[in-house]
This record gives sequence, C-alpha cells and structure tokens, in this order.
Amino acid sequence: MDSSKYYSYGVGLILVLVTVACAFKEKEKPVDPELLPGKYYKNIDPRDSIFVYSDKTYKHTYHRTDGTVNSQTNTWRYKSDINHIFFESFLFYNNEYPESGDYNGSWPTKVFIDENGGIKLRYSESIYFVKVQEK
Amino acid sequence: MKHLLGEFLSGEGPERSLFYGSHPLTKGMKNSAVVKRAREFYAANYPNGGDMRREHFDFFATDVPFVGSDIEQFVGSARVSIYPRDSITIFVIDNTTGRYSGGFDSVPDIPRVPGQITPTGNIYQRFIWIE
Repeated sequence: MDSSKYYSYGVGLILVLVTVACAFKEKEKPVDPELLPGKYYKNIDPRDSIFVYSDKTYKHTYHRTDGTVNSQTNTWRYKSDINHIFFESFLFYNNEYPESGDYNGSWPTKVFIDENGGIKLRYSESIYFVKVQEK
Repeated sequence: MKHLLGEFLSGEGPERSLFYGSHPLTKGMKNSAVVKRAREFYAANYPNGGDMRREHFDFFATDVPFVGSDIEQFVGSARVSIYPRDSITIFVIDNTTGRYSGGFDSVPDIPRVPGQITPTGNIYQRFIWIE
C-alpha cells in the first residue's frame, strides 16, 4: 500500500472522529431549571453582572469606571429542548457608552455546567457569565 | 481577508472594523455556516418574530471542507443578531479575532494596549446587511 492510501485513510479516520465528537457535543443534557437562579458575572469583566431570580425576572447591572451604574430588569425563560436561557429585552453594556434601547430584543444564551459543577452562560468562545452566588 | 489576518498578527491597523452589505467580505459571510445555523435557530425559536441579539453560533471543524469563502473560515464562530423591521430584516454579525479563537493552543485572549502595537491582540469585526 502506498503512502497516499495511508494518508487518505488517516484523513478519513480524523473526519469520522471529529464528526462523532461533534455529535456528542451537540447532545448535551438540559440543566435543571432550579439551578439557574443566582448571581452571575462576566469572566473578563466582573463589573458586568446578571442577577437571575426565581420569579423569572432578571436584573442586569454594569458598574462604569466613572462611578455610575447602568441597570435594567426584565424577564427570562428557559428552553430545555435547546438548553438556552432567553433574556428578554437584554441590553449589552460597556464602559464606553450605555447601549441604546433601539435594538432590545432577547438574548439567547446557551447554558453550560463546567467540570466543577459551576454554571456558565456563554457569550462567545472564551467569554462567559459565571454563576458565583446562589439565589 | 488578508489584511485582517495581518492586522491581527502584527497588531497594526484598526481594532474595530465595520463592513456593510456591498463589501465582498460581507457577501462572503451571508452564506456561511454560522449564518445558516442562525437562520435555522431563529426560525425554530422565534415563531412570532422579534429581535434576536448576539446569539453565539459555533463553527465546527466539520464545516471546513464546505466553506464558501476565506472570510467564513477566518471568522469561524460568531455572534449573530437578526432584527425584523416591517418588510426588511437586518443582519448583524459580530466576531472577535483573538488568540483563543484563532487556535493558538487555546491560550487566553489579550486586549490591545492603547497606544501600543499589540501583536495578536484582540480585533473586532462587524458585518451588517439588509434582506
């Protein structure tokens, strides 16, 4: 057997393994909704916090460096079939400016449980809101 | 596309870039895997319409053989917003290019340092178009 065949088999095997790994990754178990309420903060910026309450409301706060605080409240819902929390009328804050409410739709975020049992809400590949306090 | 990669690696160029619908890179993103997933997610979870804001969609390794443009592979995973307005729909794609998502051994992202050239410091792209 020449080297090109080994190469083809190798590439094929890698593709199968990646496909299987992705398939397992897609089949995540839903999170117990009772575990969701609590205080979360953004892992790269602890000034950005979300308080998730048991009555299906949330409060989002951002402490700016000038001492002022942006804050909003609204409702949240959990869809277990896709393991997402939907924060209604969610605004994203940063230190440069408070976000306008012109585009204030829902923010769907996937829920993860890390290896230590902690709950994380994904914003991007490396940015999460991490639960740090119970309700 | 090349200049975005160069700006990331060298730390030169703008930290934030905006591309509208007529830009070739935006056209490349319209048919990307993450936008396809975003459309499917929106159709399944917003039966009554409404704004979807910055939902993260993954770009999988299995997407690589099917990418239609260089920019799709460069952006990879992204946050997608969909805003229906009367007879139009506004799409906004946000991407962060950092060391983590770039696959540099999963090292943490580093922000650009103001006033300094910061090689492989985070840069941000936003693509906007209307359908």
